[in-house]
Amino acid sequence: MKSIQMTMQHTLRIHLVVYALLLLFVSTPAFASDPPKAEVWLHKGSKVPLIVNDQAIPPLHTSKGPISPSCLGMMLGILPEQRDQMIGSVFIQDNKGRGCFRANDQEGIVRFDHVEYEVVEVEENNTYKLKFHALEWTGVAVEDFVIPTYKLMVRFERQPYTLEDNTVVQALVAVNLGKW
Amino acid sequence: MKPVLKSIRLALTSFLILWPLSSLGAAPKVTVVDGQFHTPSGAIPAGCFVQMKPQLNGDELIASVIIEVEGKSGCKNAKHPYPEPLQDPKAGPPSYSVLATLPEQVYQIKACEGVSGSMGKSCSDLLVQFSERSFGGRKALVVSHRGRGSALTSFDPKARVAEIREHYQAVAGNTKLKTKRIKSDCTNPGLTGEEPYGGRETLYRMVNGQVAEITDEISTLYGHESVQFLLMDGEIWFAFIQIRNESIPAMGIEFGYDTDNRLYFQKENLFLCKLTYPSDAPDGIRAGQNTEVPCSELHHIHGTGSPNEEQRVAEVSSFSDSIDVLLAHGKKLLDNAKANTHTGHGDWCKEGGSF
Repeated sequence: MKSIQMTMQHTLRIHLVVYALLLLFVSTPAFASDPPKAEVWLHKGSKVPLIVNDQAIPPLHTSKGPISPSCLGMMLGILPEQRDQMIGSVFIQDNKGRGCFRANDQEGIVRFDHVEYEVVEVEENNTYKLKFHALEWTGVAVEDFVIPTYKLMVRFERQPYTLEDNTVVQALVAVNLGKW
Repeated sequence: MKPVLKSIRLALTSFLILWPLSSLGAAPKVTVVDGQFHTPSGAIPAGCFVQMKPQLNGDELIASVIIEVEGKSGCKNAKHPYPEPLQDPKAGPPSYSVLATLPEQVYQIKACEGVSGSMGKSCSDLLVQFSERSFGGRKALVVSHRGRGSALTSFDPKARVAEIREHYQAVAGNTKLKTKRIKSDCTNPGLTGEEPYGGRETLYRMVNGQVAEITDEISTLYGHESVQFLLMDGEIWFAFIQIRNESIPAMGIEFGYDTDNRLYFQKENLFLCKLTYPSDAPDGIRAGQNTEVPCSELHHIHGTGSPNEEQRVAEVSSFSDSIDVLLAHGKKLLDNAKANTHTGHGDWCKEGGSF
């Protein structure tokens, strides 16, 4: 009974915190007049997630749709209690395996209970300064949820990927450039 | 000067006879020891590679893993090199084996994750490539997932070494082949008349009208150095660098260690390095022993001496301060031979014996 109560409390807190985060995004919009149509672009020119039917639409899009925060969030470190930054890049799409867009479990190794991102700055060469707002279970002595903010620079680029029949395709990859 | 050149020729001949063919390594920074990848600071955990493997549910998300950031953080030093959610608690740890070595630091590996039950493990063949890039303003060693091709033409380092060896035996020092020799003696008329104090001699050996061997030897008051390039169709296959110094114990002058350096190339990418201390050697190393070493550890070829300046280290090469510069030196000599111009050769004395 106690565990059910705790679960309900956690779930409620998660929703409250996420809602607060999304309100924060919406309250500080930054729209560009002409959204660029490169391989990766700002959806409707917005640097922050757009709220549609109570759903947050991430700001970075490709031809296949929004790039999920969990996918990019993997590069911030994985697992509770494990903050080793070791994911150098993530497949987004076109690797014929399951990049982010076709993943069955996008959140399998993400350390966050919930994460969203906003674009702070659009740099040259498909490079973006991102700010992540996460909901994270500390998992340490004082166990609680925390809402940390992380900064990460990411560059999107095409990289060769050899298929099993030895044909080479160009996979779209998000490259972790570290903190900014 | 002549005794010096004779000794170099003798050494080159000895090298031809005694060239060993031992175990093989990998590209700079990363070597394969007992079937596992190592950096200069030790073995890379299997989990760093296996996390790039397609998961049992078909997901394939991780495109590259940061192995080390300037030798410190990264997967190699992580608490959990293999993410715990990927590890089946009832199964064995991740493992991998190297199936093939390909050019440009690409390897085909079989990466296996432990799976509980009768299956035991699930394995996938991956192409992985090591490279260096900037991460947060610092230099990082990264391994990238380059796909799942399985029928690529494998690069066999042993076969390549055998190929280089065969070509070397046919060409190097072969007096039956047409040669061209350019020689410059450096003199210092201001001090002791025209007495030579050093010089440079470059020898080109031709096969079917093409340069197949170039030996460039320089001599100064402080020692001498030679670099021998083995070429095929204008491509450098092999370089042998000998560095010798004239220590003057009576004056308390002790130069760095003499070295013999053997560099093996595939498509002008360095894939194997061997080092010999021909006379005296650092503690723990036997003089005269030809040892395979990570190419990144040839600090004296990379122009950086040694990270530990307190110790006596191998004498730094005059020819190059990087592999690129060494290759460029060989190409310049080749261009000189093709154009039949050797002005740069004579300038070496005027420049005071430096490049």
